[in-house]
Order: sequence, then C-alpha cells, then structure tokens
Amino acid sequence: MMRDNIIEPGSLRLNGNTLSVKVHMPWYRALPLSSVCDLVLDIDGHAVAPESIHWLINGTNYAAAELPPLHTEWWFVTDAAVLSGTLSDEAVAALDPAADHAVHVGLGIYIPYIDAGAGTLLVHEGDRKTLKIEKAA
Amino acid sequence: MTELKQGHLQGTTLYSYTRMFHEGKATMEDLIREVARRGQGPGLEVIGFQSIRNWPNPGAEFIKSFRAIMDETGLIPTSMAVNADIGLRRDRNLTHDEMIDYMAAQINMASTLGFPVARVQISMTPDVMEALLPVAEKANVKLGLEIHSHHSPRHPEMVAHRERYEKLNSGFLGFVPDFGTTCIGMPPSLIEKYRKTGVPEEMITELEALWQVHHSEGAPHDGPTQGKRMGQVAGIAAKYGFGETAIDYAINHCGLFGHADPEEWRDIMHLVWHTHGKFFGMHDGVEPTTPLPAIMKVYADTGYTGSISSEYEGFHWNNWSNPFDQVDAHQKYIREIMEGYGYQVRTKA
Repeated sequence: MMRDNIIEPGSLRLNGNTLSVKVHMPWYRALPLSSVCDLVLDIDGHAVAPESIHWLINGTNYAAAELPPLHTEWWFVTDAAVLSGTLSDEAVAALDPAADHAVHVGLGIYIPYIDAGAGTLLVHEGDRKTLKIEKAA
Repeated sequence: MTELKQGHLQGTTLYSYTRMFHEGKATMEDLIREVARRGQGPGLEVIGFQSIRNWPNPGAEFIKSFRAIMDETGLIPTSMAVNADIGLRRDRNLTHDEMIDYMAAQINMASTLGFPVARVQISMTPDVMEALLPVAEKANVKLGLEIHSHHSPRHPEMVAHRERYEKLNSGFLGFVPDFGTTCIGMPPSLIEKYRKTGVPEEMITELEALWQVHHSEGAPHDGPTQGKRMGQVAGIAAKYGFGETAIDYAINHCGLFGHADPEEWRDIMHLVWHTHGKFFGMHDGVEPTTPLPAIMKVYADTGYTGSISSEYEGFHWNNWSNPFDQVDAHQKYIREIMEGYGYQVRTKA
C-alpha cells in the first residue's frame, strides 16, 4: 500500500561504510515494532550486511533482531524510520559520490488484526528509487 | 411531488484522506476543518491507530483539543474505528482476556471522545464480543463488527455473530457493512495504475479474467477457498516477474473487491449502526466498482437512518486524484440515488 512513498527522497546518506535512508510506512495505521521484519537495503545491487541492519525509530536505533519482542512500542503513521546497514569496502569503493544510485528498500509488516489462516498476515513491500548520496549534515 | 423521508446521516472518514496525512501535507486538524468547509459531514469517523498518537492513551491535552475542534466545526463523531490486534505479538496470539482488555481501553477512549459507535474487526469472536457487552453498555458505545471483503453477511463466521447478537438482543452488538464486500469489478483506476507502472497487458487481462471467475463462484465462505484464490493471483504476479510484491496483488484482488450480492445486506440491516460507504474512485459521477443503486436500494427499503461514511480507498494506488474531490462526488451520487428512492440524506447536524 502506498509503496511509492516508502523511500524518502533526499534522505540517502553514507557515513563511513554505513548506508542509511529514511523509510515511510506502507500501511495506513500505527504498527507495533514487533510487526516490522525482513528488512533489506541495497544500492546499485550491493546489499548491506544482514546482521548489520538497524531501524531507528522513536529515538532508539534497534538492531533488526531486537524488533520482534517490541509489541508495546509503536511506529506511528507519520514518522519516518531510518534504515541503515554496513556496506563492504569494495561496495563503498565502487560508489561514485556524485552519481545517481539505484536504491532498493524491502520490508515485511505483520498486519496484527488479520489472521491469514496460518498465522498473522505478513505483507512484503518494497520501493526502488534513484537517489544521490546526500552530504553528511 | 411527494415529500422526501429522512434518510441516513451523511459523513466521511479521515481514512479517505490517508495519503495527505501520510505524506505530511495535512494534520488531523487540517483534515477535519476541510471536511467541515466542504460540507462532507456532519458525520465524522476516525481510526484511532491512524490519526491519534499514543492511541488509546492520547492524554488530556488531546482529548480537550479534539472536543474543541468538534465544537468549532459542528461535526458529529459517528464511529471510532478500533483495531482488534490479536496478532500483536510474534510468539503467540493475544488470549481471550488480553483481547478484552485491549479492546476495552479503545472502547472507553471512543466514549471519552464522544463517539457513539466503535467499529471492531473480524478477529473478534462471538465470545469476545459477548464478553465486551458490559464494557460497551457502561461506556454507552455500540460495537459494530465490520463486514469487509472477503467476508460477507452469509459467511459462516458472520452468521455466527449475527445469531449471537440476535440471541443477546442487547442493542449494543451489531455490524458495520463495508460496501467493498459487494463489488462488480476491479476499479478502473487500479487498472490505470497497473498500466502506468509497466504491468504487462497480458497480466492485466489474466487478473481481470480471474476476478470474473471468482465473481461467478461468489464470495468465499471458508478460509481454504480464499487462500486458494490469493495463491492464484500471487501466481500470476510471480509469473510476470512481480514476485516481490505478489502478496500485495493478492490482497488487492481478493481482499478489497468482494463478490457478495448486495441483497445479502438485507439479512443484517436490523443490526447495523454505522456503514462504511467504501468506494475506489468516481468516474463521470458514477462509482463503477461498488454498485450503489443496488446497495442503496436495500438501505432505502429497510429505512436505514444511521450514519454512512464515504470511505475512499483508491488512495492505495491512486496518487493523482484529490481525495476530497472524490468524496464530494461520491456523496453527491448517493444523495441523488436516495432522492430517487424517496429519501433526503441528512447533511446537517
């Protein structure tokens, strides 16, 4: 839903080897952080290391593995989360800081009020946008 | 000319303007004032978990400001849409007792904010609904279980709810019909979006043909049928290289555009407190997907005087239409239809 809005334009950053981008919710209502899973971030086909993925929301930068138990913490509809992860040295070396880059974000969201028969409905959404790397603030 | 009878209360839901809110183009207060300015009320429906931060504990300041803006605009709270989040946790579903606590907090806040109805969802069982009856009575908030595609009034789960509500005869347990349950096709704006985003013509043809096959079979009455249909849609999407978002196609196709006959609404009208006038997009003054002349005939025949929210859902894919213009056109169309049936839709508080 509204997947055209997932990646926030103008929010791509590279700090050392850490790539980050702001992510908007592809759903219409607040979701618990326990609903967020299967986070993916890649640039020009280079994916960040899965174990390095973090999700910054409500002032806390959570490792992806910390999210499942957080069913009393909420991602509000109008808040952008910051998705980040670590690129390899080779991937960073290959990035031209002045060029356009193909960025892909993927995420899964469990929809807590819909039982899909074999458990809570899990929706996978994704967005692809062409972005420049912004200068660090 | 014969005098028109008093019909239902016109209204809208802030859900219709989700994209504007989501994109930061309007605050909740901006949306409420624009609803009033355009005359899209007087009924106003809100989704707690969408519009209100820290729902269902928004704090005294919010409660005061919400009451103030309702006074300022003259809008009437109709339905607070609450969510039955049985799958909140990853390790297990909420228990019966946890669900009751989770729902009671939302029902009580709906009451505090002045809403006479709380819309609840299918993840509620008849037992949970019955257990919530004392909460609803104390809060003076009627509970309306939404009948939303892929369910329908004659789905066995809904029949079980209806039988329980009839047995209890409380005046507090009933339904909120959603017109997306009774569709006659896929929305033209969705097909347009598919074309804009490079979905191959062959895939669109296959999706539309499959929708018609499902329509000829009717609304599903069990989970396996629904699951099989979703799998068929996801299979088409995957075949054409849209595997990453195949489930999204399946949810649209099988979850939004339901196959029930509008006549089924007659079964439950005596238990309807509020209605979601779901629509997907107006075209030349007509809504091609939800057959409003047939649906509103049931409402006219049964003398419904509750509230109807025009609920625009085309925003899921449509990022080019103005949702306020969509609601204007939908409400005008319904007023015209109801006049034809001898009813004056109530547009004033």
